[in-house]
Amino acid sequence: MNTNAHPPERVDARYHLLDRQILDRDGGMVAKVDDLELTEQDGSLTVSALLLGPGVLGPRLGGRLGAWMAAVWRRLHPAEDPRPGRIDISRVSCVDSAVHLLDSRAEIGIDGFEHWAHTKVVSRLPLVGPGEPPPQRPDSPGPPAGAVTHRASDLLGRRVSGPGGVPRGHVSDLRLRTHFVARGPNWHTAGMTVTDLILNQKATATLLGYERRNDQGPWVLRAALRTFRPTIAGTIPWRDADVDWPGQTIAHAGQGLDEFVL
Amino acid sequence: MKRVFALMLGVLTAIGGFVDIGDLVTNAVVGSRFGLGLAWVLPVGVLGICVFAEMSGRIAAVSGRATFDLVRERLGPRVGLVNLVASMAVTFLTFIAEIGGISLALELATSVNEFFWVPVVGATVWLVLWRASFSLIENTFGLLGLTLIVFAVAVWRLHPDWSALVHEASHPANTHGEGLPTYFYYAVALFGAAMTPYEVFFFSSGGVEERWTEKDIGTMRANVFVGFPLGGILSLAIAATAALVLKPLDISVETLGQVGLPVGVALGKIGLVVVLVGFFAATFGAACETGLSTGYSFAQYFGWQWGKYVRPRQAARFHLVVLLATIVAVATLLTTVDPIKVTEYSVVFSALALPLTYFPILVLANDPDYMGEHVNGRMANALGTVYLVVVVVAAAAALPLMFITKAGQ
Repeated sequence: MNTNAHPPERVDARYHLLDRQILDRDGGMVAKVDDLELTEQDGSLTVSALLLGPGVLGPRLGGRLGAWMAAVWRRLHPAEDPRPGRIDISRVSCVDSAVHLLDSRAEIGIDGFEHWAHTKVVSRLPLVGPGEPPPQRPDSPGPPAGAVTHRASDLLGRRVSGPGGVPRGHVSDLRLRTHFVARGPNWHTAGMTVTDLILNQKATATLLGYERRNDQGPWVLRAALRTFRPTIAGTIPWRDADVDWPGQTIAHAGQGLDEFVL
Repeated sequence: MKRVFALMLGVLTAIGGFVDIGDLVTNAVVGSRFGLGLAWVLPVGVLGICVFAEMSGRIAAVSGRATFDLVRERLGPRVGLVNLVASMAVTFLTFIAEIGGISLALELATSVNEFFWVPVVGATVWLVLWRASFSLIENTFGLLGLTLIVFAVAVWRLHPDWSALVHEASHPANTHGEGLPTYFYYAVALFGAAMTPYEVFFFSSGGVEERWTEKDIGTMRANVFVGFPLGGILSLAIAATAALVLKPLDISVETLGQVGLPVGVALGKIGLVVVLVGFFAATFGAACETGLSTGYSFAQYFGWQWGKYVRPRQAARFHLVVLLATIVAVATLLTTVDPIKVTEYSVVFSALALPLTYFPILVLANDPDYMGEHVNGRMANALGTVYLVVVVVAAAAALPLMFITKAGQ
């Protein structure tokens, strides 16, 4: 929408980015943010790309259906060892009720399935009118060589333990500090860095808003949800978190949790 | 002047577009079996759809995003998918019922068997969804649907005992020898027909199609709060004609012809012609809405380009879903399943799916991240909360009542 207002300086990966609609420069719909690519460098963790497609949505769904979705995608994809769709974070101009990109649909290219539906079905139907499909999105080059990358979904839901194995809760969200720079009429993302882990007592925390705000109406719903679903427990700074990536745990070196602020 | 015209057009199409095959059949069935003893359900259902349609319209106007688009963000991909599958199933069932309804209306008009019409209707509906513009679909069928006012004229021409009618409608009671479970089964069906989930999906997606902004909230509210209740009065008139003509003769409605019969009795051949036009417009308009809604919800979950505001070439997957839905709907009807039965089941399953649709809308309309200063006020939240409870009760009761009463027999 208003791409000229200053984008938010702080966003939460799951609450504001994951599953959000991606729009091109002209407002055309591109895809959903199915996952985020995180790059580890010198102890800091930054969001390096938006990941798209059934290949990353499947693992997030989990279970047999998720595995099936990813397997079907793998089988139907023309590439030998397909990589999920990837949009570099530097192409993001703004995050509001959608994630806005700096490029047009023709520059980004369309999804393989959209291209198939266009050439094999839609363009052969009567009265379709003239026109060619936009070019298909080239196969993702993947992250830069040598980069150590993870996915946001790798961290979400993980158990966090303090010194001596004291349980701290589960990661329910990642707090990101964003850095946007103005170039011409547009903002460009210059960086999105993980600053804190947001913790909840349960691994399956809700995202309805009641867990983070105590003034969201209607009060009956708020009271019920805050009784039956735990609210955000607090945050820990990323620099105090020691992540065992192949394992399932995160060790927290600090004392206690910081208070969660909106 | 232009604004006034746009406002009037919106209200008129809301009236005409309110009634679909579910409302036609359920109201006539209920009228013929219970008189006006269930009339109280209509205002309850109409107020409910107004409350939630206003919220979803406001969400679309402020955030620029349609309902299903946001459901996945707030419920997550897993629960969002369950929600998608359940709502899609109900919308698709309604789509089948509407195509069947158009075919039945054409059979009544031409005496040519409905199974001849089913593929023709399927092809025509698809062609309209493929090429006609969004506003053309909305306005044409909405305005033509106004011909259903003939039911209200018929009530007046039947010279009813008005005080007895009003008394019966305002004193809810099951006084017609039907079992209490049957009475409540039809209450749930009537409620489901008035609050069908696709209406809010379609309404909010339509808001995005027509590029509503915060400035359009006033117009949107007028459409909802004037148009929908007047549409509800049409439903009431359908029930009243059935109560006045069919019930005394002990005819229970099993065909679309019987729904229109009282109008023929009251107004003769001209009335029948007008009623057939109304049937056709109401079912055709709703077939377009449900067909589009099927494509909308799929595309919105996966983030595909959707909508009639872009050329079909730009929304290939969306149009692929709509095409497949139409083919499967036609194939289902050609198995000789009775469209009236499909309709009766579709309204009950609508009732079952209501909380899945209306719970997220109530939450989203309160989320300041999307809504800013336009979050729900006290009134919207009070009504929304009450209706959430009603909707959960109706959904919980739907299946047990269906089994106990053997689907209302």
